Amino acid sequence: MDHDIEIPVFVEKAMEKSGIKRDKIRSIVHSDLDHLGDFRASWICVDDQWLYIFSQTQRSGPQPKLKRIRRKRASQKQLVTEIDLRNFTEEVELTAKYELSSLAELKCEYFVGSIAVIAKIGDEEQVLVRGSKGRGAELNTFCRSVSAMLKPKKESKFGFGPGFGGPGFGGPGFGPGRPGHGKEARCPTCGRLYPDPFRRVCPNCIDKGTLFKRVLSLTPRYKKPLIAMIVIMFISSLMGLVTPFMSGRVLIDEVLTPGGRYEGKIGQMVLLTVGISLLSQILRIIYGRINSGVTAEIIYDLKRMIFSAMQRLSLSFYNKRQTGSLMNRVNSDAMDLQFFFHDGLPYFIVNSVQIIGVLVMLLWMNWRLTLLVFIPIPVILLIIYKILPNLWKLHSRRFRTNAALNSVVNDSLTGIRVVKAFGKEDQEIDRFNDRNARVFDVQMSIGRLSSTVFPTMGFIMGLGQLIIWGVGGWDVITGRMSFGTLISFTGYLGMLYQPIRQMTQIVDWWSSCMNSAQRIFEIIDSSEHLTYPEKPVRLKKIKGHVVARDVEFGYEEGIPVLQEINFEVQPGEMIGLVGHSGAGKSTMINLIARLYDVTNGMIAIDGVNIKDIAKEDLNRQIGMVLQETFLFHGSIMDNIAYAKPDASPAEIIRAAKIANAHDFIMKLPDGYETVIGRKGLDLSGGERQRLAIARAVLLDPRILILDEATANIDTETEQLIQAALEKLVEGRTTFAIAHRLSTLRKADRLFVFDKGRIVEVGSHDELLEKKGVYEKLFTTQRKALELTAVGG
Amino acid sequence: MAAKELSEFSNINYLDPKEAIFSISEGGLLSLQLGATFYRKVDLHQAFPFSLEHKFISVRDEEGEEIGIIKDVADFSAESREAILTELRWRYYAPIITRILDVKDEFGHLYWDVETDHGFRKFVTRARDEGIYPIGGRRLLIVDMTGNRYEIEDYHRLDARSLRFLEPYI
Ligand SMILES: Nc1ncnc2c1ncn2[C@@H]1O[C@H](COP(=O)(O)OP(=O)(O)O)[C@@H](O)[C@H]1O
Ligand SMILES: [Mg+2]
Repeated sequence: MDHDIEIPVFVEKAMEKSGIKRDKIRSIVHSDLDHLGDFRASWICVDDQWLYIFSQTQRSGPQPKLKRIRRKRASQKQLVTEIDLRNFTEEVELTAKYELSSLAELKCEYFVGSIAVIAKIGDEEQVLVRGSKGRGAELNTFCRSVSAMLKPKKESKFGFGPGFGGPGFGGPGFGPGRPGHGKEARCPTCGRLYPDPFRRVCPNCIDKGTLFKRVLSLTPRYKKPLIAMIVIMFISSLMGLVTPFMSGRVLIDEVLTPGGRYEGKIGQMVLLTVGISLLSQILRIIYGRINSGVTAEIIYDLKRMIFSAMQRLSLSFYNKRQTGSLMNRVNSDAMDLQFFFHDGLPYFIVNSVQIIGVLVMLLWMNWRLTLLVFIPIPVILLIIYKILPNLWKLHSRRFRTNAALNSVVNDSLTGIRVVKAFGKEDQEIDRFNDRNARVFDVQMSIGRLSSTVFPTMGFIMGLGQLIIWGVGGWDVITGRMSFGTLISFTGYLGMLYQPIRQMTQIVDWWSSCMNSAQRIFEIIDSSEHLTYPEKPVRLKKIKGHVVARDVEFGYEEGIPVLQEINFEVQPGEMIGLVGHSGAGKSTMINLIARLYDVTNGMIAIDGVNIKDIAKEDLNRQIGMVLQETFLFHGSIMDNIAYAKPDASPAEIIRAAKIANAHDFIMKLPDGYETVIGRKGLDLSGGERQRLAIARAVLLDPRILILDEATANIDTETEQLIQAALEKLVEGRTTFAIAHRLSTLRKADRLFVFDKGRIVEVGSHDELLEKKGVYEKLFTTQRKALELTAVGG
Repeated sequence: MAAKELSEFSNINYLDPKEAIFSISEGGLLSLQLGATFYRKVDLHQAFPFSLEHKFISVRDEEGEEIGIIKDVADFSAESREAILTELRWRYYAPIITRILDVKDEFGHLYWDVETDHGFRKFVTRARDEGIYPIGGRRLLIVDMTGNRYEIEDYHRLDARSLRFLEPYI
């Protein structure tokens, strides 16, 4: 039993009041909409006998001002319940309860804009609570676990060997193990919402120092050059600090002033200055050379690491993200880091050395004056932080409006034929004018703002100068300060504002870089690999006995694609999977090959849960021929031997012969060494398919999977392939999906899929006699074929 | 035969307002009495959710098969209409933002704090204008990172302070 389920204090109080024992509670979940659609928190929880619903009951009074929502730190057992108390108060009461024995099932329904938890009570269905989309994952988990509790355990229909009942079988477990169970998606440290509730990373609170160290630690071999770079940067910015001193204090006070320490030594002065600037140029060159080399290499390493990490990820990682945008993200994240090393880091060093150095010099030369100079700085900081960001936003808006304008121009020019053909010139002009006006507006705003801000800033900075001229001048006249010092002073002041301004951007930059780094590490660290047990079960030679029990699967939470799948397949059997497209056939075989892990239930091969079987045993003995054959850039030989790189030439030829591919390969000028994709050589669909079959033959799998292996191929080629497949199928457990039902005549049994379930099982003849789904499918297809045959 | 099939596909099967009676069951689900057939639970799908919210609504049974199409909700009896609209409100739930208390652009995300017709709410959308969609006129649809939707009916009718928060992103 889980005695440490987290329950918010005010729910605990309500439980006490209603006489519910807190430690009997087995599971709790929180939702956020009431029956009117208002934001109001409710909790559903279950103990051994009852299901309770608690809700906030007291509307908060009118909000006087922006009342900050209450933030509570999570203590060990206390939940961070970030309920927005602006809507309802902490008052919570038991609002409904149901006897568990009266409930048949709990399920989560996903709408476009909200979610409903629906209970089956007898024959009736009833909405228990509603929630916003963000609550989906947790509500769904809760529904599943409660439903699993309600269902009487079914008797096992099949005998299972070891590994039965592994993790994930029989419904998700209860309790606090699940991340974020019952918690609002909020950072516990700063109270910000997590941007992505499934990521639970607060960009404000990620430990940037540690991240940065980790970025560096990725590349230990760059430690020395990095340190060298920092040292050089440091020295060269120190040298920059010398200039105002030289031109003021030294030149005016000591060289040009009669009685100065270096009176009249102009030549040496010039030489010294030239020497310093020469040295600093040389340093810069050295720096630049090290820098470009090192950053390029760091990024190269980083990208390589990311790519190899990505190869190890399970397919479901990719499903949740669009592959294209994922690649863009990774690329732009890597770019961000590159910028950081290339520009950000040196800027940071230069600027901080400069700011500190200038301040030290100023204070050293005249601390009183320095303090006076600081008077306008708060105003400048205010402008930098409050007003300039608006200007940057306007700039990015101008960029977007311009892009929109360009796309109109682009559209109507590339589509000019369509525009003319439909006589829509005026409409296009309107569209253009509309966008153009927007660009104009933004441009105006930018003009107005920047023509106000920058002069103001200039004036305020000028104020600093004026103070120096006034007060400092007075000091010079009264002899408290030398004229040279005054000149140096103004020189240094000029060096102060620029780095301050840049530093404010660097902070932003730093945050976004570390966020990028975080995302990259997330891929590198992702736990979405399929997990393999430490001591996997070795199956040297799979017999081919395949069992599915209560298999459930969905690519996305809450949208089941397969449900209640149960079957048992004997070694050597050939199974045809049929059904409308989208019925879940491909999904089924993906699960058998363990490209994805089942959400619930299990699949076992030779009595072993496939999650426990060693990866290499599974990969070596399950062969797939898919509808779309992916050929790598390389020779035909390499492509056939992809799964077995050490295959001998004789083996490869034998495989090609079985696949009926040998003849067409031999007709190619370079035979088996023909490089696909070179010199415009491309293979036809049928030829590619036969290479894929050869690949499978070479692998000599114990379980063969054919997913529409003969689709999109003309009848004659199909016969060739069909013949090849028949040779291949023999003696192996085979799962074949075919669009043309006639291709599956040889199957021992057909599994008919409909909307994610197996609705009929039997041989072709049996199923026809049954006059069910299969019969319908078969007759429609025959009619369609007749139709095309007549039509030509 | 081919011709007949084509017409079969192209015919829109409108629900007859006299024959189709919608109601919300005690459990809070939408049911449909269509002539002699009773559907315990039906789903609604708007064909044009932004421009014609109350027209061309596909009614589907629990299996997802289309039973027919509501041509215009206005043609139905008051009770049916009420039931349909209630269901649509849940299905396309999108609180209307009446006041924007804060929008912060931080770390590549927008952090919102708003008041809606259903209460106060904080949420996060992705950077800049991703997640803010103009849906005709001055109407905006805002979709947060978790898929929740919010609507602004006419941004020019927001108070000045709210508009100022919104302005940079539209
Ligand atoms: N990678 C995926 N991500 C999300 N949904 C998917 C994915 N692949 C398939 N689906 C969905 O799963 C269902 C079953 O698809 P599939 O197994 O490919 O059907 P079949 O092979 O029977 O045509 C479909 O509704 C499809 O949209
Ligand atoms: Mg398929």
